[in-house]
Amino acid sequence: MNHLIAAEWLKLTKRPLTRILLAIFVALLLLQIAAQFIFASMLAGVGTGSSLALQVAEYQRRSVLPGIFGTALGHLNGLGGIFAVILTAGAMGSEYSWGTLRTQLARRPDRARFLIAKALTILLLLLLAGLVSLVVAGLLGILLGSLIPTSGSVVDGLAALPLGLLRALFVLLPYVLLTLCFTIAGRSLLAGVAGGLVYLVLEGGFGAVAAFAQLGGIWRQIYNLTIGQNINTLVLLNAHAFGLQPEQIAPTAFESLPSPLQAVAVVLLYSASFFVTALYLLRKRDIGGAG
Amino acid sequence: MEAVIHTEELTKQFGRHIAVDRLTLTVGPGEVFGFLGPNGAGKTTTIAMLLGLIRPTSGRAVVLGHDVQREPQAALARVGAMIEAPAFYPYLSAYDNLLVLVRMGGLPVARIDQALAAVELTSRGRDQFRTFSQGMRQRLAIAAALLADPQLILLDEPTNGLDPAGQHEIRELIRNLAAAGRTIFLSGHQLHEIEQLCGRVAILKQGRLIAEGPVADLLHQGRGVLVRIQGEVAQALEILRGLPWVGALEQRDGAILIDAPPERTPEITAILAGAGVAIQEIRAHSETLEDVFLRITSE
Repeated sequence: MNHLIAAEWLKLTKRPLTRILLAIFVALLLLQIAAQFIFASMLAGVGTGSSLALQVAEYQRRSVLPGIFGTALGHLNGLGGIFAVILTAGAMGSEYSWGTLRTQLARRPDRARFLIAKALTILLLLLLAGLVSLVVAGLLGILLGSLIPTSGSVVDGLAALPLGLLRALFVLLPYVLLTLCFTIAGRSLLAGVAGGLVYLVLEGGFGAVAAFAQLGGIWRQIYNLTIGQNINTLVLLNAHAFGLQPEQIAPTAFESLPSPLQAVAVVLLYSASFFVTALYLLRKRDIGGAG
Repeated sequence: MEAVIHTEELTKQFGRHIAVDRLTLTVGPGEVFGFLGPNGAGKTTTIAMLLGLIRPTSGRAVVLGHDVQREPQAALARVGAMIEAPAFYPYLSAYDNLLVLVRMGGLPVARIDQALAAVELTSRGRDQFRTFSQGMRQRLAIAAALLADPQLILLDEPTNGLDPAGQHEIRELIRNLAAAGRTIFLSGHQLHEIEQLCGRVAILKQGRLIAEGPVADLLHQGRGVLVRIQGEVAQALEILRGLPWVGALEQRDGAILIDAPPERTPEITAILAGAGVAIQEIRAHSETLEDVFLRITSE
């Protein structure tokens, strides 16, 4: 498996698309932090106790250590989802369009190992993107911390980083595997990007189900089985781990989110079902030439 | 000796279209085997089934003693292949493209330089694949096929797109590989090339095997005598039909092609001349593989 991952790593890290995506991802993180910082600085004097003051305080926390780590991981789980979809669709879809899947599977016919190696390598790259964004955020947090007061323990924040990063990667896992599924089903990059992004949009728009969830009981339980709700739990855990209070700036009903245990189980279940479907499609189908 | 390739009633059906129809074929060790057929005959589908890329609808393919469907790893561990157009990562160099394959196969990295040297691409090893000419791409594909030190090499139109010098180089390379005891399964349209390189050939038409055997035997079938008559040919045809050792007679381009041993040419000359037939030209005729191919596939 190691040499398969090494092969995938070489393909992905030398690909211009990967570098462009990483550059845009980091640039957008910088933009987000700058916007938060400017917003917090401009409204720094508003009356204490008001909801606006609470929001300003939250944006301040997000701009300095250790809260800025939460911002970086939140960015990874927010916009990073779109980048993960594009990266995954590119990694798998181009194998079809360039005909390289045929070249490789003719030499290494174990398709399960091929798919596992590809998924693991994509996750490794996302881990790298997470590390880069944490380093960038950390440096920026130090800089901005000299301009506005910090709150919370930096040591605790640093200690929370490994688990926070793993949690963020775990949140991206179902999107990566779902995109692999769509890419293999459509045998193209476009199918993967379209499928992954459409799902991201749909997930945000489970409005009808969310409305029923307000009724509570079984409706709430059904809603809490959607992937988005469980991911929200994990994202919230990450925010809290770095002293952030997203409740101050978002009107979401955080108290009705699924438990962390359920969140992990449901995300695992979705991920497993996406992976099994992707593997089934890859193993069952004939491998044609370049498309 | 154990067959390197053996197919039994190998069939592939795409919807209602039968791409390969009950193909039974055996290729022995050390052979250079030609696999011919018009476009759409099922050659590439057959190769893809031999490589486990396409699942047969029925029948089986055994490569190096292992069933491709049941034991793909064992069957393909020492197989090198080039199928259709060379497929590589355009943004990677030739070296890195081979490195991907070496890593995937868990092979020694030193093989890359050997493979690049074998196809004379060492000096361009660090250049991106997207900058390569068609000929260089073909050569890189052959280099990729050589990485695993293969016992069996499947080449699908290896000289496609190459200039005459490039074609000559590849032919020499194939000869050298065969001389080293490797089995070569060569599919293509370059019939003169197949004729030069292959000991045996199989001809496929609409998925069915329509001819198979040593090249010499196929060419022997097309041997005969060609006679061009001055004036009316009817008398000559009548005389020739009366000879017990003459087979079919075919009128071709104003001449008569006689299915008879070429050694009988002086005898035919004497008989026709004795009957007062004016002979403009008479000579032994032998078909090229291209003639055989066109004749068989057009029947």
